[in-house]
Amino acid sequence: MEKEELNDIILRIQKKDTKALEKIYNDMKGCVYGLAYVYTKSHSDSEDIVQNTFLRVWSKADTYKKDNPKAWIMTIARNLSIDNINQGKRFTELDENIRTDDCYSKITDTDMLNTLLSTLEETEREIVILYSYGFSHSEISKITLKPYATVRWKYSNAIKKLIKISGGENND
Amino acid sequence: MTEKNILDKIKAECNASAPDNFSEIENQIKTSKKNRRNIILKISAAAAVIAVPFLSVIASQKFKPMGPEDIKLAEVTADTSEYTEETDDNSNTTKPVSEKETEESTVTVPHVESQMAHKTENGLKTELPPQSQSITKNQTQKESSHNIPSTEIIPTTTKKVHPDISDKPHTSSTRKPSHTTKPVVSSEIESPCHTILTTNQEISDNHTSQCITEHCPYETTSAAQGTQPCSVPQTLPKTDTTKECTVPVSFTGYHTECTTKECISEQLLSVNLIFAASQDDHSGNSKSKIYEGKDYNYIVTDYDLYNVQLNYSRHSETHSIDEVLKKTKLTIDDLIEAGLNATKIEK
Repeated sequence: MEKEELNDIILRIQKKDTKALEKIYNDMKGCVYGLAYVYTKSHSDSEDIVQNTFLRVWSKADTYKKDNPKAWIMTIARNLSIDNINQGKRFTELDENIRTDDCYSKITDTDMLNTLLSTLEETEREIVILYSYGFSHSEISKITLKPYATVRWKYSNAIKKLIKISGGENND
Repeated sequence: MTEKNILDKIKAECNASAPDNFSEIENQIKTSKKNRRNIILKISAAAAVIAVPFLSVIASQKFKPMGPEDIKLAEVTADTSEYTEETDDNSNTTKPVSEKETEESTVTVPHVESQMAHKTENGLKTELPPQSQSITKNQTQKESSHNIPSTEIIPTTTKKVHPDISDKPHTSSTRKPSHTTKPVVSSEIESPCHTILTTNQEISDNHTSQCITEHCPYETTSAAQGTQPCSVPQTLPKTDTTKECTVPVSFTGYHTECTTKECISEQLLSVNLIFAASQDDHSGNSKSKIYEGKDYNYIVTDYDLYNVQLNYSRHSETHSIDEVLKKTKLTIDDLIEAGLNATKIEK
């Protein structure tokens, strides 16, 4: 979804158009979920964060300044994820308790995500997730409040680790 | 795996794992709307809950007419002698209305432009005329009936009431802000002091506000300390240099010691005009002890010329007389009468 289209959607959300919210939800739920997941390491918490993120988008759409709607939404998701961690609600391990919840079927397909969790640092994880969803390094820098160079360097390190673990070769 | 494959796989896994439950979000949005509406309704209801009981209590208050037993309250007034002495010379200045009155003496001649209440020993005269008033005390309370002997209000009082201020021009003075918002805390409440009306000039019909109420600079601990001179703050006009202080109100004495009908009535009759309507807040403070277990709605505890303190809430809020009257839909007369009835409460 292009930036202009997203801006229009946000404007529609400001006018309390739930269809617009649904559209942006379907477009960004994966990204939000991934970012939440690398923070919380919990599917249930991540789902909650996804839900809360879009509820927050709905309620705070008035405060959105035309800038970068995706980055705005991801910032909301990141803040909620950090809040979730601060509240001590996260699961530190993908243990059996998690596997017994409704997300079990989904968790079995999250090999790469689990590799991410086990291999990378927190900052690297979120950078990789965001990058996979098309965010540029500068956008990631704004979202994560990290210097641009740090983002690039961490991404580079992270992707090397993942390639090495997956047994592939680095194309860079 | 290449970088692109890795990123695609991560993206695919995230998309696959992401919840697909927008309907839940939609429901929550609808619920939050309802909640917001409910919150507004609850707030409105809460406001009504707070307001209605008080108003209904006030509205349902029955004002008993004064009876002889009420008149006896005046006997305990400690300071009437001083009043009498001071006002004997000026007895001609007041005209009793009641034919039954035998001895009448001017107590004070308080007046406030719009919201004044006056008292006599046998009851509180509650008229609020635009003119100055003189209030007389009927000292033959036994002759009193339910009909409170009228106190005469002489709009054209010409004689001086107090020698110290007799020669002073009777000019309208600037009111000094009083303690309308102070909570009834014994140590903090200043003793109201009211001026004996200077009456060496004619008061025309439209003459207003000849009295000045201010707080006595001294503190007292008992309500029965009698009339004391009250020095005038320098900020006041020179015309008000000498004032007569009625018995300074001591809330300390009142709340901690004054638990009998006699004491309360003494307070009522000896102080200036402050009304306090109160309900038992069960806070355990001394004030509520007075009313403990009693079926009361409000009580006149104290009053001064300018203020009514209405302690009807759980937080001992104070309110201006205007606010009280507006809230209660009562008149000054009602409040005074209710206050007198309240003095019947005896611990």
